[in-house]
Amino acid sequence: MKKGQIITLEDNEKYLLLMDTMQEGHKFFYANKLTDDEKTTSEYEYFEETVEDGDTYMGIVMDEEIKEFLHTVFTTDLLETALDIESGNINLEDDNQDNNQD
Amino acid sequence: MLKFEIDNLKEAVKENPDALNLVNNFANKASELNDFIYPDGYTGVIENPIITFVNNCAKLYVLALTEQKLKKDLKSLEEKRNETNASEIDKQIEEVNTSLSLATEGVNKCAANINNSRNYINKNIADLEDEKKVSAQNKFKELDDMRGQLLAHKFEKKENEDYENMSKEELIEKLKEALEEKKKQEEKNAELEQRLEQLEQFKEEQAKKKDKSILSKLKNGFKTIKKKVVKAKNFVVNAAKNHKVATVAILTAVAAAGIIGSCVVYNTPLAIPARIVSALWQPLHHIGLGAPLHSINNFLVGVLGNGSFNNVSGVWTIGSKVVNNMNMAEVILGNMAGAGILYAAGRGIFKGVKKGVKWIKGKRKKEKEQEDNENEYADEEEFLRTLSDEKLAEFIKTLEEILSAGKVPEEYNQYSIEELNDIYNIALAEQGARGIVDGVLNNMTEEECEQILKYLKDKIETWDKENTQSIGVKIGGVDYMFIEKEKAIETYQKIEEVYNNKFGGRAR
Repeated sequence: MKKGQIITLEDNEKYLLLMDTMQEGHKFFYANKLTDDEKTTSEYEYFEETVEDGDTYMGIVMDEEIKEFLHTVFTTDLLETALDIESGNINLEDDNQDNNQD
Repeated sequence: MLKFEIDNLKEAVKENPDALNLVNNFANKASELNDFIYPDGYTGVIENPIITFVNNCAKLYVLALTEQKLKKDLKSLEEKRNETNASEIDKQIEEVNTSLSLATEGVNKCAANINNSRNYINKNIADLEDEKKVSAQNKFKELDDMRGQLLAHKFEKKENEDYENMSKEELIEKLKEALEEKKKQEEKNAELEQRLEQLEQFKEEQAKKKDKSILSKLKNGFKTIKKKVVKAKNFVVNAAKNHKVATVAILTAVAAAGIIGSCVVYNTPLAIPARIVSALWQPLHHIGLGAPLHSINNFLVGVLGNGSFNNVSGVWTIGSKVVNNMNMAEVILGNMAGAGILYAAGRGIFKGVKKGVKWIKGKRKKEKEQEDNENEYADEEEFLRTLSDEKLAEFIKTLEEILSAGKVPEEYNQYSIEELNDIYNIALAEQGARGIVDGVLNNMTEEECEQILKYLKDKIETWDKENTQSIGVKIGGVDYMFIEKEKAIETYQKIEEVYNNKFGGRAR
């Protein structure tokens, strides 16, 4: 999985993957829950991605400490993005930029 | 291949093929190093340090060459001085000296920039994986050595026709342009460096939070609710595609809208999502995708007390103050305490900082209730605004007496002592916003005038430098708080006038 994707889980819930990070071998995502017709909502989750027997699973992080830690990671990433936008390193008119950021 | 600004240098050494060859090799080596260190492209916050390094090397050599030429001119003029019209020669010497000091200044600035960029390059190399680190260090050492060789080459060439043929005026003009450009670049770099430091600070804090407990959980497992992914597809927003706005802008805005809520829960700076609003407001609104930014603003406006946001201009107004400077907003929004201060400042309540912080904390639990509290003093605020200056001062004095006694008199029994304290602070803010009252001025003693003038003068002079948000001062027994420099200046002038008229304006 990568950020910028919409995933559908086994219970038919849909999420938009907004940001990702690797921490000690774990891949985490910050995701926004979508409605059935793929509109954004005010619900957000931290996911851990795992792959088993070729299938991808998303684990909703329940541990508060890990969630708080991920919050600081993603907030810092957000600041870095803001700085990149301000300094022109991210060109907002270039739709391929997203792929470059991966 | 990176593009460098070394055309002037090539021009300067064009008569020396070896030096020209070295300049080209130097640029190629820098590009090679760039590709090695940043294989996926440079994504840092400041300008690519390798580009800065090469460009400043080039500028330094051109300026150093100019400096050398000017020194030669100066020597020649000094020799002539005894032979011809001394005053005319003196004038020329003065001009050359001015140019020379500009050139020397330019050389020093370039050297400082070279050192800075060298530090950044070394820092980026230190962040590389171990197997790449040594190779990168060697490549950079080669590049740095070439810089030295280049310098040696340049000075081997005794004359440079271009600069020899330039008039002093042209040289001065050229130097001024170069320095002006350098100055602009330095200002930009300084701002970005400051922000980079801020980022580094957050990263450090983040690293600290990755303590043993987190590491242990990451290693040994933590609780999740696992669900299988049955489908995945790319996120496509037609509006964004049609208007060629990067998907990253939309993803970032949606992420910031979610993060900001957690900022209050986890006590992290609100300024970061606020900055995203500032950075993305124009492009996303242009294509009608500003919804997540609006949700951030609505949240901030709620947190900031009586703040509001202009959807057209993207300007925040907090209380009576327009916060149109993002840096200023950031200082205030930098942390939760800061948010509390802003809440207090928005209401003009200097003493209300603790209350502001308390308010923020309370908001986490009882947001709805807090909204109600927001309007709790609306009637009182309106009432205070209708009072004359004298009546307001009288009311404040009454409240001071009540608060000092710690007991609510019967005529105010609809309020608790805490509520009266809030109203007292609101009244002080109203008074501060109106400016000083004449009656208060007339009660001032000579000594008091002198002390306050000295205090205000000092605060006004250092207001910008110290990024002052507000100052509190007791004048004629009345507390005032100024959240605007202009109000403080206006008050200073009024007191000075009284001082001059009443006490003869003796030297302070």
